[in-house]
Amino acid sequence: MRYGTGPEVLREVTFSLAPGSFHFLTGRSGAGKSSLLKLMYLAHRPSRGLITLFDEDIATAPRKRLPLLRRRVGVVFQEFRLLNHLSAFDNVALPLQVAGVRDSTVRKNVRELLNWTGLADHMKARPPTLSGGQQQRVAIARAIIAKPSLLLADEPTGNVDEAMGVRLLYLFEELNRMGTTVVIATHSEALISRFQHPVLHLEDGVLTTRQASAARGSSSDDAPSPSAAEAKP
Amino acid sequence: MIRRRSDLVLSREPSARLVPWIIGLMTYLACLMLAGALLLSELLDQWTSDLTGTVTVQVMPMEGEPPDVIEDRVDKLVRLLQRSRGVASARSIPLPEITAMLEPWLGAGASLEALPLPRLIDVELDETSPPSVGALRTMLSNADPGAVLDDHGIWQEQLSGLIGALGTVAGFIVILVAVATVGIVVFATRSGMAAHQDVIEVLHLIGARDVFIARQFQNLALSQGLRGGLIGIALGAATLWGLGRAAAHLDTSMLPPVSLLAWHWGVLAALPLATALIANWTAKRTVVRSLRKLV
Ligand SMILES: Nc1ncnc2c1ncn2[C@@H]1O[C@H](COP(=O)(O)OP(=O)(O)OP(=O)(O)O)[C@@H](O)[C@H]1O
Ligand SMILES: [Mg+2]
Repeated sequence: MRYGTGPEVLREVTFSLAPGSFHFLTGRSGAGKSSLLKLMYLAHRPSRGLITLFDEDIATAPRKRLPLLRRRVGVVFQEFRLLNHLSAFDNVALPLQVAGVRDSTVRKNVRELLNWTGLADHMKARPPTLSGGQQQRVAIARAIIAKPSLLLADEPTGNVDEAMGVRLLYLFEELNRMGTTVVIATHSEALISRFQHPVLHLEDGVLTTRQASAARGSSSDDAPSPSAAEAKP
Repeated sequence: MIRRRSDLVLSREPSARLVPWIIGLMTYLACLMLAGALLLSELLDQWTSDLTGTVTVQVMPMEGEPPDVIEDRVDKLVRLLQRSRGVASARSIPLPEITAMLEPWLGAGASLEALPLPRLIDVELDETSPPSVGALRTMLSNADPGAVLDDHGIWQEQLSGLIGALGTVAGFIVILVAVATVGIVVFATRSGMAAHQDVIEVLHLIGARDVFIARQFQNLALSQGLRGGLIGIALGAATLWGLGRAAAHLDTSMLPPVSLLAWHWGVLAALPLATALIANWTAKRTVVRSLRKLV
């Protein structure tokens, strides 16, 4: 893919994510990690190549179907992208409201998740009044509130200390155990070596896959749906 | 704590406060134009129904004719008319009445007796079986070459032509106002979208359909359109009421009394509804069209 008429940021990227798998995405700054995730959460079209998401070819899927696909993808943006005029509660509730979930269900689920992420005391706070780490947790809560089939997190531990980073990773593993396919872009070698998941590595627009030294079982048969992302040159 | 699904995403924008007032002014204009058009058509209706019942016969004085001869001619014609079918009554208008009618134009001091004035016969037609105007005209000119039938037809035609033109202009202005209102809403919605670009992108990326995003803007536009419409109709009603009072003091011998009917007021009262719907529809189209550019 390329931005406008710029150079090709991603050139040779071919991979497929098994449903229920857990991957890290690495590469030095500017390698194209965020760009690859943008393709996966359908914010960008590839300038060439093929992307299949939940068995659906993105290029040929009618535009009307894309919102339904997006609802199955939870995204933690690198820069959070919380809505500053809404409370933490309303931010987290947004994906459910967009999907048309009943208000009473929304209230119950959001409260539960905010409690679980340690934000019970900040439900009514607006994002600008929260610390970086708290905002990050609101962003994560918003990404997982709708129980997505695929979770994409762009440097979700960038703004928190190492202990909190580890706790958040446990949260993602928990979600992964319940069937969600997870991809986490990160610079942190410490997290990668600690959590032993396969690594997708980007360099000069080329993606290579490295298996974790001690691979854990990561396939789950009752995953909601196959999730595959491919980009062929 | 939780916001309703329909108004959750947009923060209040200061510039949005101006929009209802602009729409209000537009509605005010539309209201006056519409009221004007309705009044004119009402006026035309009354006029034409008044005039069809009567015609006037002018009896022209002949060259070098002694003054009392014309009296005989008029009497003869009146009797002829009274005998004709389709004529309810005919009456010669006495000379003092004619001079009184002409006085405002010629001045009180003018010695009208010296002028060879045409005499007038007022003819009331039988509404149930009106005569053919053509037959009446031939009959009169056969009886007296100096008798001219004035059936107000030409005057009426010109008048209704003028009123029709005024009505067309008023209707055109109402359409222009509607177009301008659409333009205002497009403009306001675009600037609202620009101000909420981040919100729109996030909603889009978490799987909101275009219509969901559009609804946020539609709700705002709907309330702006409704408020603007109400402002406009309030100003318009006040103006019409004031004009009505001013007209009530007027000596209306020239004009038949006209006023807006109940259904006219109904049409005017529907204006805020119209502006609200126009605003709603415009906002939806604007947002959906612009969102189609997103992946
Ligand atoms: N919106 C954009 N318009 C134009 N070029 C862009 C845009 N976003 C990213 N790029 C370019 O694409 C390349 C890859 O950027 P990307 O954000 O994907 O890198 P990254 O791997 O996420 O880096 P980081 O680790 O710093 O977040 C960079 O060279 C960047 O300049
Ligand atoms: Mg990045």
